[in-house]
Amino acid sequence: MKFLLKVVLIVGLSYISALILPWWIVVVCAFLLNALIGSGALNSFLSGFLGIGLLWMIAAWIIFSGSEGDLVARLAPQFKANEGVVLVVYTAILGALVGGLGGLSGCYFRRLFIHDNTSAKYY
Amino acid sequence: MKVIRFLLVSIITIAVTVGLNVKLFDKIPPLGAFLEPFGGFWQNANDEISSLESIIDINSLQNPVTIHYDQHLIPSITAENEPDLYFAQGFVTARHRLWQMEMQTRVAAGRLSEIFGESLLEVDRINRRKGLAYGAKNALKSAKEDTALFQLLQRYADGVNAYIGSLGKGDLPLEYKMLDYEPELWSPYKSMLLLKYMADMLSGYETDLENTNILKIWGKDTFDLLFPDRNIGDKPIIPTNHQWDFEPMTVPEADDNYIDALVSSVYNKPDPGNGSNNWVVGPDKTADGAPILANDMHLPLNLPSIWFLLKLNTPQHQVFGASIPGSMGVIAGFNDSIAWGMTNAKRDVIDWYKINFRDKKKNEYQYGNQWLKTQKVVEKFEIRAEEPFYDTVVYTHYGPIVYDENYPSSSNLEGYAMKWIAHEPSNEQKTFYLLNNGNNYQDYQQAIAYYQCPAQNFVFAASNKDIAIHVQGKFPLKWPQQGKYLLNGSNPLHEWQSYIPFEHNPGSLNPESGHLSSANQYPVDSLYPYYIYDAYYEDFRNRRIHEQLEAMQNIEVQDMMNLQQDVFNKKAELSLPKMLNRLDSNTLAGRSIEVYQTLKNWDYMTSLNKAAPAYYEIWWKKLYNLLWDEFTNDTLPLRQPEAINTIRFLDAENFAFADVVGTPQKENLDDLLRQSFASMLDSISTWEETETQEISWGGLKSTAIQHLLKIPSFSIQDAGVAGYRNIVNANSENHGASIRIIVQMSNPVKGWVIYPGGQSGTPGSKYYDNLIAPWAQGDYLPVSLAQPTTDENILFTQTLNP
Repeated sequence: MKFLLKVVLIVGLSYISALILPWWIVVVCAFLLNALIGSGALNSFLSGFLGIGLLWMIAAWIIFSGSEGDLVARLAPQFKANEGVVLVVYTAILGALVGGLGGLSGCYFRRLFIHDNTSAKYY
Repeated sequence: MKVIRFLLVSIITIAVTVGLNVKLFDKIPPLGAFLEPFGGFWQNANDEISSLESIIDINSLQNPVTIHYDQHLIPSITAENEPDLYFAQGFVTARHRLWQMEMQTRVAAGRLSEIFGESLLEVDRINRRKGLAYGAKNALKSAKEDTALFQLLQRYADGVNAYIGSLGKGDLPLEYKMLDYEPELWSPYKSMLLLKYMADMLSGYETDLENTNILKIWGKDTFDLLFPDRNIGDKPIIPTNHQWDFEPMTVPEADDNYIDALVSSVYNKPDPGNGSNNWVVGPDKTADGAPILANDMHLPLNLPSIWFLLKLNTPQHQVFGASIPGSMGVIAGFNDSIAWGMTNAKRDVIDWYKINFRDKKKNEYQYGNQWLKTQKVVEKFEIRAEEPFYDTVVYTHYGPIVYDENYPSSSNLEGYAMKWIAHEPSNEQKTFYLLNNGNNYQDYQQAIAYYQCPAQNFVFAASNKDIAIHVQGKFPLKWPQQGKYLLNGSNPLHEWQSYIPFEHNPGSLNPESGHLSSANQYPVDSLYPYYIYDAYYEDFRNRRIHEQLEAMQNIEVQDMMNLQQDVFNKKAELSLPKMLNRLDSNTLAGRSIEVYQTLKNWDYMTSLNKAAPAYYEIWWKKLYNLLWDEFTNDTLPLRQPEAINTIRFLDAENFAFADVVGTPQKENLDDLLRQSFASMLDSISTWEETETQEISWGGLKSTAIQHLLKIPSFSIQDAGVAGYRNIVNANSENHGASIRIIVQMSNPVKGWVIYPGGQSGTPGSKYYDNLIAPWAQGDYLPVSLAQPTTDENILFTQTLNP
């Protein structure tokens, strides 16, 4: 439950701040929430990975599926892709990667000061 | 241990994040910023309409402004007064075309390498050396003297800047995100740079230095034979036997002691095919007695298009037409009283002066029996990811020394100064402002009197049934042949002494023939009292248009549309019979007989489904290059004779230039025709093998419409449009009818317009290239000055509130 809660918080906080702040704010969000809510290293990495990855995937998918135009399809060849949907995947992977790294950094930051009794058991 | 673990992971995190935030490689945007769905390219994939706000608060407006977009995203802007109107024009134009308008001014300012890096430094150097920014600064000075107009220009800039200021996260146009930079604020100076961008495109082509080399190598007789000032058979813009009702000025004393020089290199010049067609038919020629005006402008075809359609309304005036993003008002269009359009009025308004410096310091140069001081301008070029580059340009009273030992190559040890009308103070913006608000012929005359460069043939029609055309620009008063070759900067007699008064420029009002037309041809007959020269006057479209208009009666709008779509190949009509006549058809066999017969039976229509235009064009090009092989040289700038002068010699006997220099035998024209015909057949076989289909004009010729960044998926590789160079429907490989306008001066005035592009500058938008298909098929959008009355015609309404 704690893991799910953390993912939801990462998604929510990242979404709100990303509306105005630069893209890398999502790394900070994943970092902060993992610094505040203790859990194991793998758990922390996955919380950021899933949180940001999902957020970016869903946001990109909504635009991709709702657009009247075909910008995404036209950009795909620039990324050596055949179809626009590939860019949704790329976007999700990129978000997941930086989110995961942010989460893991947050976890290790917390460990500098606090020793959590729990190990990674909350999935 | 914990500390090391933390540091290691956080350093990796920061490194990855920073790496994704900057542009690491050429052609690859900063990936994190670019892919993020809330600010990256995804935001540009949102729909055009859903991302428009219906109400926007703008403090500096005096009254509310309403903007209705129609179903093609053409805005109709309604304001209570002109300052608000032009503010809104700037705002709306920037909303759809910001990146393009800024990029075009960057070209003129020679500031592309700031964005693209060293690869574009050479382009920047040309434009700085040519002094486009110098001309824009001079134009700005005269614009400022006209305080009322300058205030409006400033409001246009304010409107652009209000849009730039309103950009939230994710709103930046796509190309900025791809190239990783941000827009600069707009200013009236940038509008002037845009005018110079157009001046360069339209008046920048000349061959004075190539002429100098040809004169030196072959002598004056050969030059005059191959490159006559005017060609027989062309129909001048002003109908022949016009009575010139003015006392001509005295032409300055001639001094034809030309500089005896070989010029080793020249810069790349704009396409001489940048031209246009326009014509107007009077009340006696049309079916319902209302004049009809037609205009199509031939420019490089790009996306976003150089044109943006709009309607501008105040309680006093309504005007519809084509604007150029970055320039205030409508450039070509109509209001309820008048319609106007332009073609390029070719004239040699660039001359070159060889400068004799006192010494290597270049602080002084000879002029008559005195020494004049130079001015040195150090141009600094910011280059992305590199150290800046510096270039010193020496200015004389003629203008900038474009060519010297530093440019374009070190082999050029002389200094050549450029004298160009586009450098002089001028107020072209005033012409368009007055035309937008004009009511009659007198207003039109008053408006175009402000117009200097690039010279244009302004065609005109009024609802009172007047029709007119004027060749308008600022033209130096030259002695015969002055400036056709390199001039001597030390000789005051070689300098331009004065200018032809505007009232002496050629014009015609309501001629007997009932029609007027221009297609970049020689403007007048031999009775005009002043010397006129250009390296490239048009020889084919003008004849076809003139013939057609002459023959037509009871003209309907559809006839004018058909004429804009006309694909009759006048060049082929004049040349092909000569070519076929001299070809010995008895020696032909197999496929070549078939090709010969097809050409013989061709009706000269350059339609996509025909094979004959493909045979002809290939054959012509091969013949042309074989014939004029003397005039291509890797180490010396030269020019080849024009097509019309090639045709002149096709039935000549013992023509010296027929010999191909690189071969041991001595060829004559019959040999060239035979060789080029055989070589054409080879090309066709090769083409058909590669393409695995039979050749046709539509298969051979493609007309590409490229995005300004040349990204293939943002471009149309083949619009599938008929026509070619020298044909009324002038669509060649990447050049052609950039817009087509037709206006009928009925009551109310009606218009039809189409251009190969779309109103939106965002690649992939529904409105990015939606007009290309109708353009290629010859369809038009009907337009009028009426306000949309039903919501059906309105896509979206936006209100700008004070």
